[in-house]
Parts: sequence; C-alpha cells; structure tokens
Amino acid sequence: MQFKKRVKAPPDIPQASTADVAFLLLIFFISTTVFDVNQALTLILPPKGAKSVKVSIKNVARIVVYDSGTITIDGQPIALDRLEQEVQARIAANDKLVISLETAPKAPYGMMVSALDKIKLAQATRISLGLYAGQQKY
Amino acid sequence: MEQWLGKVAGSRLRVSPVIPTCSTGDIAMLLMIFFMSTVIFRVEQGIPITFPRAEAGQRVPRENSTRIWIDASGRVSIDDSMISIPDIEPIISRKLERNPALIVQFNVDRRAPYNLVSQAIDHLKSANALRVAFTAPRKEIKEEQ
Repeated sequence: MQFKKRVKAPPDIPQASTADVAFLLLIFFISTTVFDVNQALTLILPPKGAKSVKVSIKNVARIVVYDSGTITIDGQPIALDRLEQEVQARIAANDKLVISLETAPKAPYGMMVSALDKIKLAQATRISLGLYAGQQKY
Repeated sequence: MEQWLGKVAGSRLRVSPVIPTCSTGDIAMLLMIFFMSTVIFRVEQGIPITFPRAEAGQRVPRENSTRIWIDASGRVSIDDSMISIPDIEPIISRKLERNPALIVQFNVDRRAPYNLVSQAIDHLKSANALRVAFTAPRKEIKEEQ
C-alpha cells in the first residue's frame, strides 16, 4: 500500500487581521488629530519706562476704533474694507508714517484685530497700539 | 481566455471575478503614518472662545509661546487656571526667566471688551514680556455661523 506523504505546512503567522488592526489605529488617530492653526498677528511692545518719542503730527496716521465698532482715520469714518487701501496710500506718500491704532475700552476686541489685520496687510511696519481715552464721537 | 484555459487544463475552468484586497493593509498603514506624524495631542484646554479672523497672521512656534485666554465675559486663564489680570505679571515673569524668547499669545474672544486686553498688555510690559501675538486664524471662504 502506498501511503500519501503528509506535507507539513510551514509555521505561519496569520496576517488576515492586519488590516483590521491598522484601521482601528487609523480611526483612533483620525479622531484625535488636531491640525495646528496657530496663526497670530505679532507685535513687539515698547518696554515699560521707555522714553516717549516725539513724532511730528504729519508723520502719524491716527486710527481709532470706537465702542460702537466704527473706525476713523484722522477723524474721518472709514469702512473696514477700505482701511488697507487707505493706509497703503498714506504709507506710499510718506514712508516715515507711524500708524497709531487706538481702541476704545468697550470696543469689541475682534474689531481691533480686524483693524490691525488691515494695517499689517498694508505692509505698515511702524505701528503703535493704545487705549483710546477720548470722547465717544461715533 | 476561458476557452484557452479550458484547452490547457483539459477541462472548462470558471474564473470568478475577484477584487484583490491584499493591499488594503498597506493603504491603511500609509494613512496611519500620515495621521501619526500630524497629530498634536492637546495639552491645554483653555476656555471656550470664538477667535477673530485675520489674513495677515503668521505662524507662532508653540514651543516658545504661552497663551492667555480671555472669554467674552472677562474670565482670564493661563495654563488652565483661572486668574485675575494682576496675576499675569508674576506668572509671565517666571515663565520669561525660564525662556527669554517667550512669546505671549492672546487667545481672546472677539466679543471681549478691549480694555481687558489693554490691562493685560500693561502687565506684560511690567513683566518685560515684549513679544506678543494676537491669535487670529486665517479667514475661510465660508464664514462660520
């Protein structure tokens, strides 16, 4: 009688569940991933006690954000959309121009950021940030 | 093809249509590697705020920055601890001693009154922390409601 030889199967680690494990890990990382949105408008403050620098009034563009959110430039109301163009034009006319951004105490912080954003987009490099202490005209 | 195979094998073979799924694991691993390399585990929770948006924002390196959170009602938080505004100066002074290149990032709700930020800035000047940043993610095409 001729018996069939038993073919010994080589030892094998079953890999059928590899895809399952990979997908489980994938779902974990998809649910925990936070894409970094760490973007900010940067500024360097003057040190406390620094001597105030006198600047000629013709070299200052005074932008005020009032409590109501109204923005004025040198006393003239201006729409936020036009602020960038206006600042750009003034800088082009006078490269020594300092942009003074004053914000009223009760004005929304978001309006200050929007105004600062427009000033930065206009490529202004000399920016002064302060609190507006005058009368609420608007 | 079937007829040719049938002739070769000596009998008719039916080949059932099969989509090969052996590369599924490879694709899953690649996607997993992508997410592993991009994930940032949130260490600081902060307080719920609505950020203002800006287009001129620059990326601020997280390793050199500390965040001051101010919400619309005026609550102030640093490192997940509620504080009052005068407490900003000693806390930031200590952090500045450990890292002179510290950038103080303001995570402030867009509806918060500006005078809170102004007071915080005054305390930062006293602490000699002069590098500040106002967090404002880039504007998206569709404004969030």
